[in-house]
Amino acid sequence: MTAPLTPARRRLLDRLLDELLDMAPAEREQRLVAMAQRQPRLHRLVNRLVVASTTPTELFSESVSRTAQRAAEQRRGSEPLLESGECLGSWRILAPAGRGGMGVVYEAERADGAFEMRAAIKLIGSDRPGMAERLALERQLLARLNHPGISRLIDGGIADDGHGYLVMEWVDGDVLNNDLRRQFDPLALFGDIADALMHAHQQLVVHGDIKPGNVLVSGEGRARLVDFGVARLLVDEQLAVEPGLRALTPSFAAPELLAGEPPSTQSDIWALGVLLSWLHTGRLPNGDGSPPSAPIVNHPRSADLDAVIAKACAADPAQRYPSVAALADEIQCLRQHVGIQARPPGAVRRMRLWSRRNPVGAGLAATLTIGVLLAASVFGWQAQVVRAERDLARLENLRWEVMRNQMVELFSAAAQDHADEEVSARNLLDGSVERMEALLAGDTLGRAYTSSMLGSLYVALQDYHNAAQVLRPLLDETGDPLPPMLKSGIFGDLALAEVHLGNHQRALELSEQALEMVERQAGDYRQRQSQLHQTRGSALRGLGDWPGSIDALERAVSLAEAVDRGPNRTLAMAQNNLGVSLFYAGQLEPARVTMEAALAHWQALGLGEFADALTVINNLATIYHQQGDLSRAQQAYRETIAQRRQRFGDSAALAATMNNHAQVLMIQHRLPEARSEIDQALEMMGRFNGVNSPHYALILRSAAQLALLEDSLAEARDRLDQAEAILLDSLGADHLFTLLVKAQSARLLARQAPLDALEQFDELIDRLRAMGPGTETHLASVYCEQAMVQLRLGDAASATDTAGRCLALRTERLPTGHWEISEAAALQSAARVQAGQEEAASTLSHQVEQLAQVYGQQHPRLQWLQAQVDR
Amino acid sequence: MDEVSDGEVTQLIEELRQDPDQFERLIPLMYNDLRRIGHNQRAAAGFIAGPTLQTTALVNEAFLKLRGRLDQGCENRLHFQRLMAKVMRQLIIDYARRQLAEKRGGLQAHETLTEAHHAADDQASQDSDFTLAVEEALKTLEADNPRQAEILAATLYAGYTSRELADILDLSERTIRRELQKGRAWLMIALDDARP
Repeated sequence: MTAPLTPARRRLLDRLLDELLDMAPAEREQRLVAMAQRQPRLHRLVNRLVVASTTPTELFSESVSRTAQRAAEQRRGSEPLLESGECLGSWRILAPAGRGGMGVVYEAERADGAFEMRAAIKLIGSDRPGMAERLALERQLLARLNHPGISRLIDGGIADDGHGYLVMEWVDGDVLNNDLRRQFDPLALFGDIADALMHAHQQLVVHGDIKPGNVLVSGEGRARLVDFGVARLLVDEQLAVEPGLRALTPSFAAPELLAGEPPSTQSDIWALGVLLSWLHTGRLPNGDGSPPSAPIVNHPRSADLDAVIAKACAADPAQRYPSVAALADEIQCLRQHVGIQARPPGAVRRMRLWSRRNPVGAGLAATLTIGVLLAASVFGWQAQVVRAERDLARLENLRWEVMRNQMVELFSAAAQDHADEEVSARNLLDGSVERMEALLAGDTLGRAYTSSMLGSLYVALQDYHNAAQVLRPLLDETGDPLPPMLKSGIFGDLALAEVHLGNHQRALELSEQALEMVERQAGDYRQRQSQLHQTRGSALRGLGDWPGSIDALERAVSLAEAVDRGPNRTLAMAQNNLGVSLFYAGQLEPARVTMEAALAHWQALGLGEFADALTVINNLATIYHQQGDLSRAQQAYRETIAQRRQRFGDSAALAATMNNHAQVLMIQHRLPEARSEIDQALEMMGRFNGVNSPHYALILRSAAQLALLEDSLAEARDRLDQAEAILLDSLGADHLFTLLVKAQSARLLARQAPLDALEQFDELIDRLRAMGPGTETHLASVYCEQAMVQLRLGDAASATDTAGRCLALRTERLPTGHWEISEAAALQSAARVQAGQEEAASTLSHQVEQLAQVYGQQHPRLQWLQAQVDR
Repeated sequence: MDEVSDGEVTQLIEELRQDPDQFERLIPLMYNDLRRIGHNQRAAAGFIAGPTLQTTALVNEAFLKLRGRLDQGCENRLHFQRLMAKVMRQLIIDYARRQLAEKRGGLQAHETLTEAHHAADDQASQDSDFTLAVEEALKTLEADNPRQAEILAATLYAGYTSRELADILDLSERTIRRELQKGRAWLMIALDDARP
């Protein structure tokens, strides 16, 4: 019966069913059998109906009645009625006040006689674990509110029977209703309410349930907002007992609330729009998330009022007024008969357009604009924050965390969308740093927040030098202790900057301290932990502790996966980092697999051209490079370089890629191109990571390699001395990087003092062997270089042995067919030829042909090997 | 048999919302009755369940008071009871929708719940899902045979007995029972067809 029935056919079936149900079972059976023969299609339909009409239907009726029951329980709870004279804590019930949105409100007075005070008491449901803490938290939060238009929460607790209760300041007046709205100027009432709400939002408190039932109007027509935070407490209450009805009033609930999002300043603004409409028309929207539709007729500026309501009640929260203040301003204009502003949509777009027009020196104004935007998103989190957090300090921290993330996101997005304005973004940031210093001179916490934020932004722009400059002073801050999550954020960002600046030991300490701080916080910070483990893993990698680094990064990956198994940024970054360590540890194939997974995640996120995705492509290029696939490597390098340059301008990452590309170019003996890449890379790396960073030293090593190919021995010597000094200072004598530079030095030395060089190679071989299997490809290269020197010295026997060791290691560690295996084999053959084994000559000839596919024709090694064939 | 239009239900609900405070006061009463209906339905353990007379009376009273206040009295008690069933249905459906939205939107908060809560949670979501599926099926039924659908819905959501329905709709009890049986069959088939 998948195809819809025509009405006539349906009536026929219904009638047939009627007849069949009237029959005795045997007769019915007979009739159906007959029908099956004559009218098989009809029979199929009818038979299905007969079966269905005799099937028990408890299943769905039970489901519906359970839902009904839940709906009922949800709404009603098990709220007891209180008698006059009953006491709750130090309060005595006088009488039900018969008002308020949810449940019964009682009028009460101070029972302990400490002083005379009237209050309104509201029961909030039965006790459950954590209720007392929750109340205490809420009270702390609401204690910030101090405004004549707000009825304050003054007390709260758990009654003897386990019910929670809230005690609020008693306000004389009546609940706003139709009569009252007609009696007073609607815009005056609205102004009072908006004022009160503005204050609350400034204190980061969202009301969550704005409606006439939560407004009390005094005899003089002053309006007050009651029940701040009560909606939220009730939501929590219900969520914990059973999921169900949210404590919201449908007509006043913004569409995103109906869709299940927590209350935010933007949903409060929506409710204000509905209230404004109701104040003028007495009518409300349907309660299905649609905006008010009743036109305002009784106001001289009714069209303007309608426009204001439409904007406040835009379906998209981002299209609403950015703040209550903006809405109140418009109302103020209306009351003073000033034209209201036409506002272009989309605050973020507005800022972007603006910054496009003012590429340089956007400075503080832009920062402030961002501040407004952020405020909106920050408040939006508040309900979740309250739910997840147990103390105010942590509330503060999470809010900061959100603001920071938002800011970083915003800047990353801006950097991505306006690559051509990348420089202006940095100018903007630099300007902000200068101005913030002056602006927040006396405010330690404010400066800490701001500096931390700016530090994060420099990190986002991969300007680690400036990031460290901004963040380092914060560690010595002696004033009030910083909130723990702010502190861990500063430590984490600085650790990241220090990693990139080559201060790995410092980075390790910082990241471990940050991790400790985060782990001490109750709550779900797995994403943050994953990020910190990544930094820690990178630091360990920098310190040459490959196993430790891989271990840390595997934890980072599994933490990121625990948060979200699908593609996500943290996971992709963790995988990339793990891939890098695997790569450094010489595990090329696992590294390639991990990296390709990371790249797939970036692509699945639609961020295939995002900076971090480019890093992965770059790393994959390096792996292809290491695996001997020079053409794929070169292609990937070229892609990364072009994209990076176009999207992000200069950066340390671009410098590193150009350096790698130069390595390929040198094998191809395209020296002028290599020279150009290396010169640019050196300048760029010096600018971004500093001329004392290990990365800079590695580029110096490339420069020396190039100088050697160009026969500029003096230049090569200078470069290597400089590189060695940097590495000894930053990484120490035992680090792989230092040894790699030393290997290059030995090659240079071989040109002038081959015997000394042999000794240096011996020493290097000892030290590399001590480092374990992770460095075996490097060890192999040192063997091969040593074999070269032995060959030049005519020590064919030693050369055969040394080249053999190189070959063995390369065969073991590198994929089959890798050109470096051929190189080692060729060296061994050359040694045999030199030793007089003539049959080795044809083998050598074949191997040299293969190498000619890889090496540029002018490359000295290829030429030397070809010379051996000709001998 | 005069019609109770959807427009009328919408109108009633809108009127309730015009005065949110009244609405808020009424709702607990309504749901309290829903809860009792739920209990009774469970006790009956069958398709046809009967609420106690007091339940109906209480709901009536609440509504009549309200309607009186709005100065738009109901035509008669029977008309009102039909309206009542529709309102009940809408409230339960609203609840089911929100419950599911809550479930989808409130994951973060749910993480702190215990295992037992999770289980209750899943059962509730399953019920809500099913309730919404029944609602969809009822809508197709409504298009084909409005009377059958109304009888079915009034039994399901408001828990009216065949006798009460016979009274309300001015039909014989036997007709009501037969319409229920057939409606149930069509509903089962619509549910079956809707299953992916």
